[in-house]
Amino acid sequence: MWGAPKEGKKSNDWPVRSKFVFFALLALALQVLVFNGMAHFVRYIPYLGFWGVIFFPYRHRPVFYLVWSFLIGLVMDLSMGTGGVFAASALTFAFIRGLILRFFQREDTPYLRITGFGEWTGYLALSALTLTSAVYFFDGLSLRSVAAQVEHVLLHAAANTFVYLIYTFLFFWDLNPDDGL
Amino acid sequence: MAATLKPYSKRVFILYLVLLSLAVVLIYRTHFGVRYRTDLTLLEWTGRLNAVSARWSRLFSLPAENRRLLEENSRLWERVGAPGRWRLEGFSVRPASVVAGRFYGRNRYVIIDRGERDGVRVNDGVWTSRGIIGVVVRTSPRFARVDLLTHPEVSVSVRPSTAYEYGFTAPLGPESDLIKVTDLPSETPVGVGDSVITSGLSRIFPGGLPVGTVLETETNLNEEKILTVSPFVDPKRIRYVHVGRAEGREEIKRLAGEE
Repeated sequence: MWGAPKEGKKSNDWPVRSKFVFFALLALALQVLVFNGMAHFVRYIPYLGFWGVIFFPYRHRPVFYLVWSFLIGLVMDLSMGTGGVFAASALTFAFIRGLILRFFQREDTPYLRITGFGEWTGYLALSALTLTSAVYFFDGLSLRSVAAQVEHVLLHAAANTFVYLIYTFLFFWDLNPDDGL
Repeated sequence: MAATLKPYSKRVFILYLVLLSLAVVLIYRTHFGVRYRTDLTLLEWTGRLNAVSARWSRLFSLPAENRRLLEENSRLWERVGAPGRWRLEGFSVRPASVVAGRFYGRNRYVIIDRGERDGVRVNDGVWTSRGIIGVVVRTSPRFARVDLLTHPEVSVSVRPSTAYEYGFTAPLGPESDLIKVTDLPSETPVGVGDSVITSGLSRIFPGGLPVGTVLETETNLNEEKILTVSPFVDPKRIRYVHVGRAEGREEIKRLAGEE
């Protein structure tokens, strides 16, 4: 299978849950310390902080998942001074994530090692699109023209998908929930 | 890989709403544009709701309002007399409509649709809300002829609104729409632009009714001030009038030795 670990290397050398939490916090730290400072240089700032929301193991308790998503969004809001835009977006994504998974006929987060590159990228893209749309929606609370925002949302979602893909592929590609989630 | 949670369970949904409300409050506090537009929208909808509410309240209060108006109307009619006829400073007044008229030449008059049968008599005064028109000089059972102020045989006792000096009206000329006021003492304090009103002494009109505006003043060799006056009412434009008859006029005439 594409993306399978090399022979002799075990994917559960590091407890998966700890690994997930570490990389989620790392993504959040990169968001706060690096990407937020890029506002003057790039048009679409990557929302890497949402990585911990997109890849949260879905079999965990939903209440905890909602609170976790809200807190991640809130940290992003505090660092960007956006009030509660990212908190509301992450929370809404967490709430409707079941529908997105149903679209892929899955009951848990698609993992690269299990699903293959196509489905995994599709899930990332759809998640990025949902989150970016939510950010744009809550940023204007739907008061702006929808048509005028479509282009920005699509481009921004594409940029986010690319960043999620790179980040996951670099650090988290060999995650297998059977290893201990 | 079995799913162990229900994404839309009641507990999750309530938690979602609570956290979302918190986030929206944070957005509202930090986004000035959102706050401004939200306040504007709320204001607009509040106004619409108030308008609807006021309309319905008015609708429900109509019967009470009608009852109150009817009672008030009855009270007022009790004070002024029967409907279609009322009193004004010792005058019995009734409404009438102008049905014909002549507005040019020496003999200017109008015909009104009230006559002897309605209690209209010769020497009754005729006026509108804007000012006096003329005097009834002839009557039939259903109609009456009213000679206008510009008629040579009509003379009404008037005074300037600025002074208690009395004069009489007369036409300025055979073709003129203006009138003059004569018999005023030369020292009468009146100037151009002042109003002339009825004196109330002739028992034809109640006192204080508007007559016209002073256009010119002059004093003749007899030390008499003569005013040129433009009447307030243009008889050609009137449709409805009031006909007033002084109560006790015959008695006053007898006391004064007139017949």
